[in-house]
Amino acid sequence: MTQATQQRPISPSIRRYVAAICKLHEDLGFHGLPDAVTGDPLHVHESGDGLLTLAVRDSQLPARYLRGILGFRFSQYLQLGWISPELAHQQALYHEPLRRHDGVEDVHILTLSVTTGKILGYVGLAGSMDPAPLPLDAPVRSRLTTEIAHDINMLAPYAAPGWNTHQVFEVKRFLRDQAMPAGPIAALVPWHIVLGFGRTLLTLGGEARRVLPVGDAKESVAIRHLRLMGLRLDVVNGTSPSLPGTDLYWPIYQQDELAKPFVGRLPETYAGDLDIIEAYLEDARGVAPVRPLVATLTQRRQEVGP
Amino acid sequence: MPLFGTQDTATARFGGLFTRLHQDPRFADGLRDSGISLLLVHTDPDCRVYVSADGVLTGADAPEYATLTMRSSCDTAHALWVGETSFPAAVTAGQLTISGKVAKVLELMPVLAHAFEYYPGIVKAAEEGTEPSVAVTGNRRPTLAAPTPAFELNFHRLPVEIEKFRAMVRDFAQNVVLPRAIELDRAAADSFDWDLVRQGHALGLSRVAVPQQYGGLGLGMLGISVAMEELAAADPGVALIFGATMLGQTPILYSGDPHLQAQYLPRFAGDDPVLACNAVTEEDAGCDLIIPENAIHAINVMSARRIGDHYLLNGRKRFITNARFATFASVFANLEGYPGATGLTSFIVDLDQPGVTRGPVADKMGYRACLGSELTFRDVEVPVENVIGGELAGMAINMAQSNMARASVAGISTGVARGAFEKAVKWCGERVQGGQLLYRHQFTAAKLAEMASKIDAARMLYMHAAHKVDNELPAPVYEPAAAKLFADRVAIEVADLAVSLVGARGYLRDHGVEKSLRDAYGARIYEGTPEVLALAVTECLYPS
Repeated sequence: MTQATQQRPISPSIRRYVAAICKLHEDLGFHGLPDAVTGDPLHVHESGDGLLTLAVRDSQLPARYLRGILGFRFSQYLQLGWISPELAHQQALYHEPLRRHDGVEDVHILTLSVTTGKILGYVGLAGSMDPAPLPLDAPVRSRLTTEIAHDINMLAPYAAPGWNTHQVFEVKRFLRDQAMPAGPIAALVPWHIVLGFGRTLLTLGGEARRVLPVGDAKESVAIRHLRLMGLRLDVVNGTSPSLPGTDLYWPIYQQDELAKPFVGRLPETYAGDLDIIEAYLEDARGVAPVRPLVATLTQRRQEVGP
Repeated sequence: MPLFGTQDTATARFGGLFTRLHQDPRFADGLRDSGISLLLVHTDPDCRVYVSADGVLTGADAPEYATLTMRSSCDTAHALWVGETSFPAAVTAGQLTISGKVAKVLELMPVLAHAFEYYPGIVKAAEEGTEPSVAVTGNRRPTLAAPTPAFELNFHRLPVEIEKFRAMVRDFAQNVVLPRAIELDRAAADSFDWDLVRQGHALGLSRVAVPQQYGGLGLGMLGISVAMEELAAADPGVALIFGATMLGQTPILYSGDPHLQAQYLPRFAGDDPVLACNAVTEEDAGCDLIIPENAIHAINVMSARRIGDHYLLNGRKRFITNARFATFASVFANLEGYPGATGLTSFIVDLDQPGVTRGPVADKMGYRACLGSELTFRDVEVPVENVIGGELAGMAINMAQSNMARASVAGISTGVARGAFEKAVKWCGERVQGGQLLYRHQFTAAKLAEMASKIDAARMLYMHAAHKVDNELPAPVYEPAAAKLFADRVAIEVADLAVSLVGARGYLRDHGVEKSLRDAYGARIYEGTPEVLALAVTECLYPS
């Protein structure tokens, strides 16, 4: 997670606004969120390290919690320089805009501190905006934000019988609370998120693992990590992503290392990889070093692929 | 001399503004999401513009009803859109009135803020003679789409969400607060029951009036007022913890400033309890800070000095409920160079910053569950963005805030009366004298009947006032003042009668009814003494 390279001077009032919004979200705790979820979460995992990870759909959350989650994302994006402070201020935003559509609900995977109720890690899966499922090569299907930014068609090559746009989920950036001090917990949070992410994909895909995670990420960071964890990724090279200056997220593509689009598939071995991560988290309880886990996963990649 | 010579030029200007605005999906989607339609009725010259998610209609095409109706002169509308005045300043000056649900106004403000982006372009186009034509894009049969007038208050059946909330608060008040009331009353002056506050916060008591888009319940003043009655029937001190928090929020709500709202209101949407406070009262200035005619006589008023893009605040506030724990305060200070309190200006001040000192807690006669204390400000920096309604608008903001809040305090007084009454009814239904239950004695029956009818009357007055506050901007002066004046008196009278009916036992501290009598005097002091309220009421009887 690197910061946007173009640091522009912003007015003191905008700077104060951004600082206040970040402080606002830093102070918010959501102890009651797990008990407020309607129905069964797509994934829930609590280990002995004081962290609780949940995966829930939009409609499973009371509105204030949903806004709180989108606020966490918003403040982290602001701190990372991935959102325009000027546009955030101009629109008086304190959370990312709610996505309202008749398609597939978004899924939120978040890791909470059991003690403070604060969100420490997050990744989102945005569902298709098509009201009805369409073939992946349908000309009228809604475009993904990654496709718009990179000006490519990511799904057409994957068109096949049995596949449709409602099986596609756009992976939002993996986030870890910027205010979290370095230490064992900070090191564990991404693993909890990755585990929740993987388990959620397996749930969404069903027995046939028919789910297509797509998005863009940096090859040296998230793409490398997702591969290490067993996801099979097709990466698209050679794009020049950008968003217009009127788009809230335009700074996200103003960075040294550009994100590359990817389409992921779940190999048969994926569940086994997640079992290894889960077993590590169960044993680690916040104290075991992560190096042996990385070594195990690396060896597994060499042995079983992908 | 009006800026706009003819109806056509005014319609072109404001119709053009909203036609352009409607092409912006942020505006059109905002209207669609909130279900708001807006009718602008301007005068000098007459001009009508109706806008909904479906489009814009002007002149005779504009329907009679919308969810919100804004009335002002064309000049005021122009001044608003160019930023020469603000919504709260125009409302408090009587230049702008808005009818419809205030909760909807709060929802509309961030959406309407986009007009500031477009209006300069519309003005420039008019000066260059290239202004866009007004597109009538709406439904040509607007009456089909036009909403019905706002909800009419039914005293027997409140809106479902408020009735549900009231039942929840009543359960909390009777089963959690009431069993602790005597203990809270006897505790040390600086003792504070955070567990109770945490439970109340979980119910949403600190965000009742906060709009839903900021994580609140969005139940308005009616929702707050009925909650205050329920809590106060168990313990008014607990009610005031949440009431004072609402008072601290009120200027932010009233400001219509989406930036301040975004920074401060979502703080109440987390699971950890957050309190706010309203810092008006001062040692020497007293009521001179709330009566405009007396402002010139105010002495030793807290000062504000502008330095660059900040103000420096210096001074001391007294008897401030929640000051001990509040994260921010609504603070009124006098701008340097203005005599007395004639430069009164309203600020939102973060209290966890250098220069703010939280003073000792006052040892009060009643309302002991909430803490009143001092706040001292020494060169406390406040950014210019945190001024409500512009410099010098403090007195008007303070009055508007009081007009909004008085209905809820009347709810507290009604609750105090009800709490005492319920104890008296219980006693009179059990105690036998002269061979029959007390309530069968005519003299006792007369007292109980008087108490019951006064409580019902007080409730109707506060509900009526709260309903008006929820549907009018600026908030009315008369109804909230009359409701509070009456309810405060009823609380004292009913508590007094209750003590007399319960007799010797009622004089004992462990019964609880003597506590009601002590508590009853509290509301006669804060948010307007009887003298201040009488002036407000009579000013409405003799409008200038």
